[in-house]
Amino acid sequence: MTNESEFLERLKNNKHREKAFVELLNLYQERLYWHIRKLVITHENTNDVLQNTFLRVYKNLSKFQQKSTLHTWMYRIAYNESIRFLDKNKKNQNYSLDDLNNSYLNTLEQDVYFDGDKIQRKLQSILSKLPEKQRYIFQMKYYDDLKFTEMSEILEIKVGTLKSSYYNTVRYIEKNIENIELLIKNEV
Amino acid sequence: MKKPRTNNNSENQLKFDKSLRLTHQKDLGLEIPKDYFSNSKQVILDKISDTKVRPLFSRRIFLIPMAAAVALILALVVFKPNALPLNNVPLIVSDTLNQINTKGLVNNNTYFEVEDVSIAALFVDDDKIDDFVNDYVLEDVIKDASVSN
Repeated sequence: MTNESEFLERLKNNKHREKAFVELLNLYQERLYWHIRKLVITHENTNDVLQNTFLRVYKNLSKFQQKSTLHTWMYRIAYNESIRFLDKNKKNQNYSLDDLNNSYLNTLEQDVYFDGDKIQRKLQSILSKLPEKQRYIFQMKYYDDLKFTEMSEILEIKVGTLKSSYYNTVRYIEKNIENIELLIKNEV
Repeated sequence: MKKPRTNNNSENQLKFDKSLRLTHQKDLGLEIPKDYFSNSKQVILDKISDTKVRPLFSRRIFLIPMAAAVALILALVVFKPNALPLNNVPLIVSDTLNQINTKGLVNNNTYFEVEDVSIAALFVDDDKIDDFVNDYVLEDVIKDASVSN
């Protein structure tokens, strides 16, 4: 994908659309999968949300006006689809706010495609204690490697706020990880 | 925790995806089924080929309730000044239309959600909602009475 405008032209052109969309899938499928997986947690749910994301992208390509990059737009759709899915689930399951952190870990543990060792479980446990939005910010920066400006467009949060939240979270995690490593060393 | 690097160059895309996958597996213990991405790609492409493009149909479906809503708003402005602030109407209508257009709400799924909501009530200030509901109910009662007669 050398030139985004040119690529978009192909995506919007009926003649080239199918082929260009396969290229788009190849480029974004795995990235968006991991982005969504960290939000909706289980593989099965991620699979559903990923499919909905690409369907929505396909249906809305003609409306994409390049006010943001295609990259940001794709992530924004994936993020919105994930939040829509989570909101729907919360309503159906009547979660109380206190249940949400436990719900994150329980859902993770129930997923057959989660196979965390001791330190991975501890890290997930630390992440589960963060407020949802703060966790998303950390994950989007650290794991998805998005820029703060891109995250700002996706989450509609100011760059300064994102930076502050991210650095606080990193400090918090590092502190807790050190404690975990110490604990594991002592056990060994 | 090892951080993956973003690279939009297609030559390095596989490397990036591999790094992303390893990081998620190593740091977070997240696994995926074997050949998941190639299977999932096919499912997505199949679903897309099943998608019928019906712009005229969709737009018609959408335009009918929107036209009804606009007509209702205008009627309320003329006959029920308490229920709808006159000055706000054009802005509300244009904002609504704008949001629907820009946020991609023009599809069959969201149409049914829109239909479930009493659209007119959305345009009424909270402190005037009681008057609005009274007017609305009264009108319905009168309408029902005249129909049954």
